[in-house]
Amino acid sequence: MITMSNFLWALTAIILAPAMGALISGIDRKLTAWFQGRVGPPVYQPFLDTIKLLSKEKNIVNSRQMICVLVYLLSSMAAVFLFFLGSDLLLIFFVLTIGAVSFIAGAMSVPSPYSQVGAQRELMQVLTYEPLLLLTFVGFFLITGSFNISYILTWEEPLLFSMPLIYIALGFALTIKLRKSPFDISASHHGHQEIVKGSLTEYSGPQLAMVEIAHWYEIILILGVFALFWSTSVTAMLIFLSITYLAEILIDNLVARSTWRWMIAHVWPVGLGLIIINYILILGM
Amino acid sequence: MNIESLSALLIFLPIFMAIAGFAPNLTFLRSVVAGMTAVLALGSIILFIKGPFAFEPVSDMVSWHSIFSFADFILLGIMFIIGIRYRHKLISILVLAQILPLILIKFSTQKPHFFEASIAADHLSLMMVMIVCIVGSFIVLYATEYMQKHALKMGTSPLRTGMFLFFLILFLGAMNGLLLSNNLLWMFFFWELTTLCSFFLIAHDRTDLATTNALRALWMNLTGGVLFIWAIYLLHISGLPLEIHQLTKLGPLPVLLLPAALLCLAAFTKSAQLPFQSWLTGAMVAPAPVSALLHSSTMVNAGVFLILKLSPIYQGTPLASYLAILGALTFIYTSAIALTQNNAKKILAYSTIGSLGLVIACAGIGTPQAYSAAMLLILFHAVAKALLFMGVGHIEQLIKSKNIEDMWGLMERFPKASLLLVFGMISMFLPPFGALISKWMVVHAAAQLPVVVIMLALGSALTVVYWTRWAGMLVNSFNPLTGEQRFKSPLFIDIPLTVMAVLSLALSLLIIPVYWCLSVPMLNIVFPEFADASKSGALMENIGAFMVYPAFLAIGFTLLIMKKRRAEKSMPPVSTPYYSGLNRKDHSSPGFTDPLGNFIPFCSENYYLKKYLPQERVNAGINAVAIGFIILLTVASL
Repeated sequence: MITMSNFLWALTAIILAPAMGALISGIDRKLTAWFQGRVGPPVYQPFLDTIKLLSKEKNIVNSRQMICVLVYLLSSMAAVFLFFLGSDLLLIFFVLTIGAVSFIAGAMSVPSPYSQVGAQRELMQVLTYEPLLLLTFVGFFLITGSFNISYILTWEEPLLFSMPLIYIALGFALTIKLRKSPFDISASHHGHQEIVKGSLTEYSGPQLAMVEIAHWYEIILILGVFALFWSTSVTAMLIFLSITYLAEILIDNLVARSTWRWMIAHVWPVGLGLIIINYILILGM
Repeated sequence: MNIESLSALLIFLPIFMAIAGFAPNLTFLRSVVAGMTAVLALGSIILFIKGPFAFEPVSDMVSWHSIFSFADFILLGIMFIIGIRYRHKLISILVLAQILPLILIKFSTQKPHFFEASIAADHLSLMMVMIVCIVGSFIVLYATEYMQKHALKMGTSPLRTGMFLFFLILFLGAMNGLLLSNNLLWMFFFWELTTLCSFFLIAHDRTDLATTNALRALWMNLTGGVLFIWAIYLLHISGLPLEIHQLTKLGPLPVLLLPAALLCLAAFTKSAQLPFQSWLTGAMVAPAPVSALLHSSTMVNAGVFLILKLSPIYQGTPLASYLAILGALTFIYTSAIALTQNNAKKILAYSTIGSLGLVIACAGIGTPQAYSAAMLLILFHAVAKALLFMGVGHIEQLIKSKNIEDMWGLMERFPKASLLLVFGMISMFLPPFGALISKWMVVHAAAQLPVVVIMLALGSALTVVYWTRWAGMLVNSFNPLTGEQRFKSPLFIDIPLTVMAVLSLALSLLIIPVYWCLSVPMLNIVFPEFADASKSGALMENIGAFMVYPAFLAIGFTLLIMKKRRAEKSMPPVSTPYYSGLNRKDHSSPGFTDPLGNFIPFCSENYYLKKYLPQERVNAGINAVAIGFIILLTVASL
């Protein structure tokens, strides 16, 4: 149920989420640099980058790009808002879909070869992670009997114990969603890969900054979803989330980029297999 | 006007007006069709407002039952002649297989059936009647314009075009009759009438392909007819009533199970479910109005309508589980195949079959939430598909191609038509539009059945991909749309398209009232225990779906900003896309100049994953699986 305190909590989340997201990606960069034996930028570098981007001159190919970026940003904001409101997981899933679709439409709206390849690959990424994400949410339902986040949070014991395999499958899904290696197929952080920056190639200045901010919201949302696996105590949750995200960073640095063919051919069977086995375990118990 | 005459009007007006299709004068034809649209739309709305009803039509001279018996034999006779004319043995055999039980029923020595109410309607029928009358009529209106161009292109005579419009209008009457009949024998007549109409409509172009596909549609639907009439015969010899309402009142009796299974299988043929999907994709050779009519508001809806109507009979039996699995299987299969297609109409066709699969899965799941999801899905799907098919038909006439690869950058050439098309696609799969709300409810309802939900999850991701891809390539263009000569569609194409888009938007915005007016009264009847629960909090769980409103706000907000931007004329500087430094200086068309000075235009193509999903192999496999399930289903209901 929506109460005033929930509403205020969600509102706070929406204001604080970009700051948190930026901080996390700052830490991410610092750690990555450390792994690679570099000093790396200061933790607050993502803020500086984004502020600089925001102050740059707008430069676009067509007006549809602006609409798409805006819808992308709004949808990730809405998803974070709904999440902290304690709303329905399926609803959040569908709101996230709006963002994903709009992001792809934005990339496809430009007659640019790099952006097109990026968009096509992004489609394949969506195809791969969407079912896994949806089935994870169904997993929550199978155990708790509800899709409602506020209800799931009241569950007595950490859900990780009943759905460990789903947790791993979700790890795949969210690595793809965050476009981290080995699934940084459609666009990467660096502009010097074979498809330049893929689906991000045609964005610059404020538009690129908006994509970045939307990405921060997504990081927070994803951590939120992971938090559902261990929501019994705050400390435990924080430790669990740190471990999860550290694992993400570690994998990001350890593995090389895969191709989308490899991704579909492996992530689908493995992810689905894990989820199905976990379903059987849940239903069998 | 009383209910009796109103329902007679909705059935017989199109049947008698059909002759107007031959009118040589276009203005006359259009005013007649427009008038009919207004009368039908108004009539169906009044009928809906008056609410459910049931009555037995009386006539002074000949009883209606004898008239329908006569008509049955005439209809079957026509189809038999078609079978002979095209030397298609199977069709003739199937017709004979229908005539036999019909004779057995008509001339049996058993005491004649007493019909309480041959015509009856509940909220489901009334909703579908509204869809037929409003969406269907606008499609006929669209056809008056479309067929002019089509006749020029194909060189068909005015008589044949008239014939086409005749069957198109007749179809509306047949469909209304089907939806309003409570008497299974009458429903059978209208059922076969839609089959016959669709045969003539699909065969309209008289090419070899059209004839082959029309014959295939005919024999597959006749198979359904055979199953239908034998189900009636089974009911007849067991001395059971032949009225749907009475049958559903009996509840899940073992003796009812086999007839119910046969009727569901008949519905499978009509709704082109696995393994009968090929007739509907074959029907794509027909002109666009036929596809729009068959796919959105008529024909295919008849099948799911029957399945939903029968749901109290098979609830809780194995039949229900098989329906859920077969529906979900159809959904995932069609979504995967749609991904490999580049023919616009084929993509739409597969998407239709998939959506109907979802409806059938809902009927199988059989919770109140699933039932209302099914109803809402039929409604929103009808409107969106009408828009999409009419839009694609129009675009096809403009660019002379059905291939979506030829639609890159269509936004630049035909802004309004493309925008409407994109809207139609978005309304099929994204929140906050109705179709997605129904999908939300389906997943919610299916969550207890992991097998079904896994198929739904995979299928729904596939649908996202093929719609996004198509919508994305339509909006692909270079310059902002300024200063160009805007293309204007003909009025009678523009109006139906716009009306469908507005309807889709309005229904999505009014989703809560729609839910209360359509689903809740129906749920109260189908699920008696729901009637009590609806007074308490159980309904809120269903209605939680409509929390999607924030998304509406977000979209509204975006549009406002965009409008303000445009008002300020603060368009940012426009740049060319990145071509590795070889950009062209002028902004005329996308592309780059290579080192030798040649202009290389931009081109791009989609991934179709054909290698991973070879259609023939997938088809063979999936058909085998579907037939297996159908055998299981039949055995389970023996």
